[in-house]
Amino acid sequence: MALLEVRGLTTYFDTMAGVVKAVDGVDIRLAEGESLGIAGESGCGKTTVALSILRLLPRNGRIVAGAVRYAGWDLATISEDYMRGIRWKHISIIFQGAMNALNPVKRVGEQIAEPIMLHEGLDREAAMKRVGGLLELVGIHRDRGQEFPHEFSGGMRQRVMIAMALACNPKIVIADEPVTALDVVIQAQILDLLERLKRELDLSMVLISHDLSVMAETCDTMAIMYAGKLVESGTVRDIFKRANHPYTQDLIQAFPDIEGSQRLPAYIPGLLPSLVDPPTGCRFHPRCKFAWQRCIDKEPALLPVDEGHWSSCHLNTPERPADGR
Amino acid sequence: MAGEPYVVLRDFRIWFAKRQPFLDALRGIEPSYVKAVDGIDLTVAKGEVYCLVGESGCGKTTTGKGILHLVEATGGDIFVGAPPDVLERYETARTHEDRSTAERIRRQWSLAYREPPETRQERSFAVLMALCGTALGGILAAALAASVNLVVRGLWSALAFLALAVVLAFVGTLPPVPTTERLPKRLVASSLLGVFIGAYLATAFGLRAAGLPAHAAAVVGAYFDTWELNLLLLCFQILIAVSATWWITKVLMRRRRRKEGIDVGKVGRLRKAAQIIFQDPYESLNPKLSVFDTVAEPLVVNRITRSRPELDTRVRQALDDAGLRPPGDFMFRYPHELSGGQRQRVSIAAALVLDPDFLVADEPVSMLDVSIRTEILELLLELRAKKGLTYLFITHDLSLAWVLSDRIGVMYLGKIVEEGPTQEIIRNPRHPYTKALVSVVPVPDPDRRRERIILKGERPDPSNVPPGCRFHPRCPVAFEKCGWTADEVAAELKGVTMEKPVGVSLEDIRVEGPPSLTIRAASGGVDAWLRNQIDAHSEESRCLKAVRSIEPMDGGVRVALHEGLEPALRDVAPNVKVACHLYGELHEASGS
Amino acid sequence: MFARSRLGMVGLLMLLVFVVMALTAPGLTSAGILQNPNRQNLSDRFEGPSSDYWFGTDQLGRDLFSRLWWGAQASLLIGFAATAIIMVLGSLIGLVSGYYGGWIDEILMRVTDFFLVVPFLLLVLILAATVPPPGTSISKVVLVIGISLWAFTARLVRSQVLSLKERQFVERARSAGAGDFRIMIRHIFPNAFTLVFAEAILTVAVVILLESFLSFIGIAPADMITWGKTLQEAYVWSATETGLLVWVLMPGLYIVALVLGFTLLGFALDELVNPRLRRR
Repeated sequence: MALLEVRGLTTYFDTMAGVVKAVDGVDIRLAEGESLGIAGESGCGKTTVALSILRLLPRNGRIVAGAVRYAGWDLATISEDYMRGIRWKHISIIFQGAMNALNPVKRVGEQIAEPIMLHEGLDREAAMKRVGGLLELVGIHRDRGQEFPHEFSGGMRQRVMIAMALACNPKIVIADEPVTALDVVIQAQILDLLERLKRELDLSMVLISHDLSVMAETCDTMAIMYAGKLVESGTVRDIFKRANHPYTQDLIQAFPDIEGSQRLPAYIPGLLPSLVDPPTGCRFHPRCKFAWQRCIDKEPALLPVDEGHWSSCHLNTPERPADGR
Repeated sequence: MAGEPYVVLRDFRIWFAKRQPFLDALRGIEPSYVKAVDGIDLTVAKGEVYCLVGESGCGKTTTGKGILHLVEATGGDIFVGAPPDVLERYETARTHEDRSTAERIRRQWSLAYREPPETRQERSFAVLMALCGTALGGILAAALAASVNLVVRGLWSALAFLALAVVLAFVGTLPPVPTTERLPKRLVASSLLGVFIGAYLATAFGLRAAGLPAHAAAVVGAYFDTWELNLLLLCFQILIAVSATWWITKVLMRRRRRKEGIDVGKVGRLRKAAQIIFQDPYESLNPKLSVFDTVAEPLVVNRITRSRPELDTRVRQALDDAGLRPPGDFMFRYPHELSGGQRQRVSIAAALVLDPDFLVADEPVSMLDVSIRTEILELLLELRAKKGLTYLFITHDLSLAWVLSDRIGVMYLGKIVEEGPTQEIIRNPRHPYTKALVSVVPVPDPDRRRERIILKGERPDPSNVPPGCRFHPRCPVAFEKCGWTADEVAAELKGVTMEKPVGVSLEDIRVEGPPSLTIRAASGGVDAWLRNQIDAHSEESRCLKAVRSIEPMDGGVRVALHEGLEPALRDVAPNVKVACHLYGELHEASGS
Repeated sequence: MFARSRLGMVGLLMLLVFVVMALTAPGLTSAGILQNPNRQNLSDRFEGPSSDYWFGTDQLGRDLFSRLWWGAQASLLIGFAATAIIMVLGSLIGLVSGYYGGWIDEILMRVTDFFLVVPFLLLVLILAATVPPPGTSISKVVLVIGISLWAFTARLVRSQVLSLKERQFVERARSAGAGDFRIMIRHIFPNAFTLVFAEAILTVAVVILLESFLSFIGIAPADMITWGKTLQEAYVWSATETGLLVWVLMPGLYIVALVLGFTLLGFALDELVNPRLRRR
């Protein structure tokens, strides 16, 4: 039984340049105790999906269609009051680059206490008591709560953000590019920490990143997005070992493998498409090696390729041309 | 790839002085330094791709910028494109400790050369020159007093100054003047200024003494009735003096260089030979300039050409080389109209337009989408083949270094800890830091969960470099030679000795001089017990290995520690260098 | 895109009204449509608004409506001239100070601090007394205002320059061999310019207000009609007590309207400038 289920999520942004179709009909499932990775390049909509789930879109963003089912509720349509009850207490988020958004003039402990006070209505003293425990949970000595953000290094600030996200004991934590700005050594520490927390606290996680290698290490299931669409989803083995969608295959090939050949990895020719005026039919067709007429005319549907493994590509339909794969 | 050395760094250092309280600066107290780059030796051969890797803060970016003279070096030498015989002579001079030859070569070729501070003799030379100026001023005053005609006066003044200039030009290029071999530029300039000031003052006073106060006033700029005009006159005179000084110094320096056989300044040469590509495609282009303007700028600034058609041709060529085809489409666009990959290509074009031999690439693809990274990297390699370029590639991504480079240098806290061919470094890392770094790189395959060495602790701070081996606080296999301090050991002992057996009471752990601690204890048998504790915990808490002896003394025990040393970078295999005590003379193959 | 800022358009329109006033004053007067603002009708002194004199007359029987119409010239002239001085001086000092840093910066900033710290009224009085030419003329007023306000712009430009000089494209230009001068002119200033321009518009507003203020303390051009002078005369001749409210109200309203016009325009320009600065 899925803990969180997103169906047909469609989110648009109104901008001066037109309507940006940032997310267009995306289905995602997160089971309990599982780590789901949403991967894709810039502009594919992965952050927008996270913001849509928590209804934290900026003023010009709106959820046009779809449902976000959690604990029997549809988060896309419930009132803001109810949503406030969900945020942080059930689902929390570590924003991209958040470690640089800590208030430089407030002590770290106080900043962690803030969501506790806001969401659980506790007073400052009670909240501060919990802060010590949270700091230790993420591997920071509890006395360091008295310090200011600039006294912490990048890796430690990210731990603080993780502590903040866990402050109200949520069931789901969404982490948007949690290790992108960190060195590979610290990255390993943080990923290790997330792994440990997942086990100890029985958390479910959604990890958003462009780095497939990181996901190969930490996620159980994955969803690959391209230009606002979900192109493939399945277990992490399905994706890496039995990749179905041409984009997934190309993307995996684009990552250099330190244990593999010394040749330069492949690249995908072309540019990422505009989301105001996306290509017709399958959004990947201008860059796809296998594209044919159908790909230009009709949008492919998300079809099951295997148990729990879905892909949206016309090559999976019986109409594919004779010289397929 | 065996080519001639093209870029050579020797004991290269870049230290940034920390801001100190004003009073401390006045009292002459040395400021503390952030030692971003702390003595590295690096050689990049012609045509090779050398990757400098390390975590952020290790000094790799600073090194790259230092090579391009964007950051001033604090010490050591950089040679970019120096002829091989010069480099050979330099190395020979260094080994034989031939200071003056080395100094001469450094002055001509090393971009990190800084003129040594003034000696007392040099300073007295400047004073001497000022006195000469004063004397000349006196003569001038007498001459002016003697004649009444304005024109004659003007002519005398001009003559006097001309005579001065000639004398100085002559003097500035004469071999051994007082005890200095050559006058440093700074001294020439200050001497000239001294002469002018001396002359002015002497003339003014001389005229006054001769009974011509009005003329004296004119010389120092107090001739007119209104204050504005007087101010203008004074400014004008200051401007003349300063410009003359600057111009004469420039001429003298150029003459001297020509005598030594170099035609353009070192930095000018560097700009044409070496260029840099920055990390952020959005920030590295001026949003107000078109692509044409940005790419043409190096040509204009280096005075290579000013003619529009020539600029046009060369910019087109550069854009084409960088893969922006057709170039005409891109020339007049602005950065905000281009994608990240295209902007980076513009940066590359701007770097290529001067036809350099050497490029420093500072994380050129880390801010680009994965699917286009390889395009840019392929371009860089193509350019190497086509134009014979040499690269210094700076990155923190070892997977990228693996597929791109011929040689890798691993930096940690301002020093190179391991260096060698890519195949060796990645497949057979020797330094504990390199091993850890290689082990934590993620791979795109969920079935290969690798054996990761996760270092504990945070990256330490370049303003507070650990003594001995810089890596020792985080090293999983550190031992006694690695430079543990008494404080580190004391802190560890406090933790280790928490659970004490009955009858042993430890009161106080105090640090004595650097290599020893004292522990006060009320009971006996402490030394044996302590030895057991240390043996039990030293595998996890590596600093305990630094304990050399535990001796009982009155009221407790004295713990003595081994002295730590900083390991030098030495050859451990053909072409592979490591700076680690595990690979020193005493521990030949004992790596643990 | 600019048209979308309604406030900006309103501001621009208001300004245009005053510009038209300034430009047409001489023409309309010689054509007889506008009364001669200097003609004294001693028999018609202190009159309220009437069909002859739309705003009434002042203490010398001069038509207030035409005086105020003519007054636009002085305000705009002083506004632009003083702002020009402030912008040039402030930008130059800010640019040099911010770019070079070190002791140049220290010295220039101490000078700037002086102009910022001295109590404003005192500063203006001192300047009025010492700046040549003696007496009061329009150039003197312009100079006094210019010298008393440049320091704020200098600080603003300097802070912009400080952040701009660390930008990567400046480093790139330096690596290509660009010298200090070229970097300042070609790279730093154009990127600071948009802010400077927006600041300039707002400065005009301040200058105009300042000009009226100076009139009150007697520093007004002897040879031109200004709204401040009219206000001052109204005050001196107790216009409020004698019920000649129009005499007080109208010059004040004109001043406020002109300042408002510039301010709205300035805010609209700020909005234009900022989104692009925020976008990376």
